[in-house]
Amino acid sequence: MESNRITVTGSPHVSAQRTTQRVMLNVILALLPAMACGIWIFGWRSAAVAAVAIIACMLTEYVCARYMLGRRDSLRDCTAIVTGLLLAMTLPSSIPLPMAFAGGVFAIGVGKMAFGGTGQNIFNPALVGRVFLLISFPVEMTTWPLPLSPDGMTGATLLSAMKESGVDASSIDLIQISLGNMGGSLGEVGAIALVAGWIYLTARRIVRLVIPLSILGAVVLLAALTGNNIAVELLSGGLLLGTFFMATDYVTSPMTTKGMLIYGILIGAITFVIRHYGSYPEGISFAILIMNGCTPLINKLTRPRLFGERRKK
Amino acid sequence: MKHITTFGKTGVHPPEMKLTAGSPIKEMPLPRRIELSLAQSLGRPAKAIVKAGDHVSRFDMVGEAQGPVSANVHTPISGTVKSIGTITTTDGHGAEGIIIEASDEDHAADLQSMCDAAPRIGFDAINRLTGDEIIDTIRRAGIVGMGGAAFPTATKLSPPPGSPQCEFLLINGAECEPYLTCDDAIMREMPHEIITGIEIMLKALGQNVRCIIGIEDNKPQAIKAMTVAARSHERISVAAMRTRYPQGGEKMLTKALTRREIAPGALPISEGVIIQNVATALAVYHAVVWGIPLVERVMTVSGNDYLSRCNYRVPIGTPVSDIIAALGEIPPSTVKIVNGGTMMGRAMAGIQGSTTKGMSGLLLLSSGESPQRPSTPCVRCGKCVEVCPMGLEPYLLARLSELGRTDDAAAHHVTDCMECGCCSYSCMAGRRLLDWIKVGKTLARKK
Amino acid sequence: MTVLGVAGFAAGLILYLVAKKFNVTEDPRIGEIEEILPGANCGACGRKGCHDFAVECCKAGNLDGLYCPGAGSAGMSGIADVLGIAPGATQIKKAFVRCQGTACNRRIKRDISAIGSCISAKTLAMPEGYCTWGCLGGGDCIKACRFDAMDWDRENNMPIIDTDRCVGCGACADACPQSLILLREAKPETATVVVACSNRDKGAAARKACATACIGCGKCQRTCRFGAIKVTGNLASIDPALCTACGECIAGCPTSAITSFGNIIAPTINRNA
Repeated sequence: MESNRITVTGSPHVSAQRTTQRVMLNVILALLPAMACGIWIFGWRSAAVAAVAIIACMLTEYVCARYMLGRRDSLRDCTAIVTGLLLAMTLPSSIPLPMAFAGGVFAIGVGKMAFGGTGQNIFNPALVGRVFLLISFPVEMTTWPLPLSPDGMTGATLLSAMKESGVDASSIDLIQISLGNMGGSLGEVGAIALVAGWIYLTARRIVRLVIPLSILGAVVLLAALTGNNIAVELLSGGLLLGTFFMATDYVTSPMTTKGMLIYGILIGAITFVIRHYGSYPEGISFAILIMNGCTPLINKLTRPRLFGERRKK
Repeated sequence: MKHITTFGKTGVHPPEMKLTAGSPIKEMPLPRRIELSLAQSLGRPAKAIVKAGDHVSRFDMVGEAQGPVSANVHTPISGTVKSIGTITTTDGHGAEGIIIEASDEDHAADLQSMCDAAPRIGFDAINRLTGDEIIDTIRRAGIVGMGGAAFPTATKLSPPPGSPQCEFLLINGAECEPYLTCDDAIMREMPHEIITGIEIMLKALGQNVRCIIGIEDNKPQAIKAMTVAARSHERISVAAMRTRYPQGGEKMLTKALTRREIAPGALPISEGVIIQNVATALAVYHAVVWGIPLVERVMTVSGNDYLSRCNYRVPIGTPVSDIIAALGEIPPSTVKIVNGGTMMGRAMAGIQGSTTKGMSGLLLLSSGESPQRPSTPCVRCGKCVEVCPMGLEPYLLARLSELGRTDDAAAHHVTDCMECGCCSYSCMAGRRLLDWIKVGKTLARKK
Repeated sequence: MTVLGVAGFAAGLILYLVAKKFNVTEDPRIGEIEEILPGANCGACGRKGCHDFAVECCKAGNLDGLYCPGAGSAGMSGIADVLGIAPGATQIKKAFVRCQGTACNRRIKRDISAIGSCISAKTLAMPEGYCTWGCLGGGDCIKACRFDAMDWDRENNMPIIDTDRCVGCGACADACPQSLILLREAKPETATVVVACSNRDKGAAARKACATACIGCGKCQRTCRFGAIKVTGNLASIDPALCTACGECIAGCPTSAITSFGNIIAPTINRNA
């Protein structure tokens, strides 16, 4: 009787409290201020877009895991919710809901489950979904509703305005844009809310500082060297959203500190190059996806040093 | 006291759970029956030199070492050899062992001899001993490393010819494992004895060797006691180390105390370092000054729900069931019984077997303390890489081992894993990384 | 246009010359033999893979010491045809598990949370009295089998071997950390009698641990009329060279530790007699 209750396992016999589910719930919590900001600025339609994207992701995840991988509990780790939420936050609030749904299905189905599910994907699923929509529906994806305008007026984002119409960076009101009073996707506009979420994740030690700081550092450095307005560079577009919540995705970012540094700096550099020299106004999505693809290589090149191993002379 | 130091940014800091910190060492009543394993050290088991039916007296040698990495075995009680054969060990695999039972007269004689005990030599006589004499005494007393690896101390103290000159004798008082407080207890209660043991070992090692006693800063009383005891010895210093697991590992301890890094696969002596546990130093003191072989040790019997938890001085070979009988029943909430600490100890299949020289703890863990977590897919968070003190990639090694790609695992240094368990501990997906890495190690060694 | 044409011609010429210079003519028979081989690269023949085996067959010119268990005797005679030589006599070996420690036969059970690896299960603690010799239930043998001849018997918590599919490559035997799997010659006309236990503990301990343990009583040794059975170290073993598969030992074994695989044989002695 007694010995039956005693379990035998290998060591260690204690474990840290952190679980994947808890981490993902924390990420969702950290995204909520920015999401609320989006709802406040663009109205309740943002919430509808987010709900549709999340439902699409969860549904796809469940169906694929259940019938392709034979796993029943794959929704439990909440990664599908995070993907759906992140995807929605990169979309304009005016996007037709079926498109948001299609984006969610593509993000999980092609971006994640096709690789084998959680932990196996090479590219950030939310960005895969976003880029799929951007290429498939370029008009809807670049029609940005103006902030705080219930009558459905649309306009350009800061970056596209600067690029296409030559708006002078110095004429932009920094306080207004940091409060989110600018055109853009529903999650990228609330800079203060995004920073708050990031600080929360960092304080909970869920994300490390290396990646965000190296991306922002690279962007700031390049902006300073080329004489661009640093603050506008940082606050406009999806840079903060991508930096804090997408580039730091565990699955698709490198393992070691050195690798993270290389990854972050290159994301920052590619973003800057696309913004200023490419044909797209915003480059953070492509930059992250490109570096996602390089992550296995970075992992291979930045192995940790074996304890006691002497450097070769 | 030196400044606070540690081995680096790797490793973990699990809840310390030193539930028995500060509790005095309790003495276990002398058992009437012991089951003495002959395989108490690394290397080959000792050979029994008694027969069934023989009468043995307390401290008699009953098992003779077979080669340099084997150690003598002595009996902690007087009595009659009941049988020689396979005995149950704590892991249930069985080992060659001797069962000794004490009659009433034997028991009474043992109790009397405990009262009559007196030091064999005076403190001034220690100075007249030669190094060879000391090492010989340690060898005869069957002393092994009491931190768990059970490597014979005498062999460690006499490095093979051609190895680098020993510069440091590091005394391991880190006790980085959660729950365990037995080293803490002996440092608090017997600092002078430990220092004398260290002095004896320093004498055996020669003039130019310095000694650093490394103690984690979660044991302030032990640090204080040892610092006071070491005050008059200029070759012995005490260093406080920032609490961090696995600081008690020999490579980590060497790094923390000397900033030297032992190369992969090398022994500490390659960096001029010899490491001994504080309990080993105490055993050396007993062997040289009192002439008592290694027949008892202090172990921690603990667990959150185990109210009679304490530091317990237990004769080696005592059946685990006797310890439980003496201290109190195991609580009904117990789901795991661990021999050793929670990070590297071995789960037992029940109350079985007997204590050995290397058994530092007996933990009775409830499901709240030792939860069973389901294993979910790896999310490649990199935490295992971050915490691995050896600089390995546990997620990769575990995967390669699982797939049976032994050659690849070996190419990624799977055999350098020290099995500290930091990877499994910190894995948010609840993956049993260390279990798989151990499989990979076994397969890589087989090739 | 002309430049491109010339450059194209020159490149083609270079390619042709290089191909000519580095051309490796492979014995066409190697390909033919590889067609016959199972292509599992199991290593049972002692070579690195099927290609190496085929190369060796061609090089040697005869099949002495060359046998692919995967291809079987039919395959080997096919290889002999390719080489134009007479096929040699072949021995068909089959694997069997020297343990019947199923969930119902084991008297002392083990509750471990293992990771699906026998090597790991072997290192974990076992309860007092548990049979330390028997099957660990991790399934390493099943993972090692390249011919889909092993399966997991969920009810009994033991592997089962499909003797029809087993080619006797021995991969499972190498994988088993308890060395429970043995290869024995399967005679086409009779069954193969085996001791399906590896417990070397003394009789009482073995019996306590498992209902089908060999308790080393020696009854089989006395029963066998051909002197094929010997009990050493509390465990019976059968010499395949002497065994005639009469089945008397199977009927006599008090714990059913001796059993057979292959053709079913009628015991010549009634168990109850």
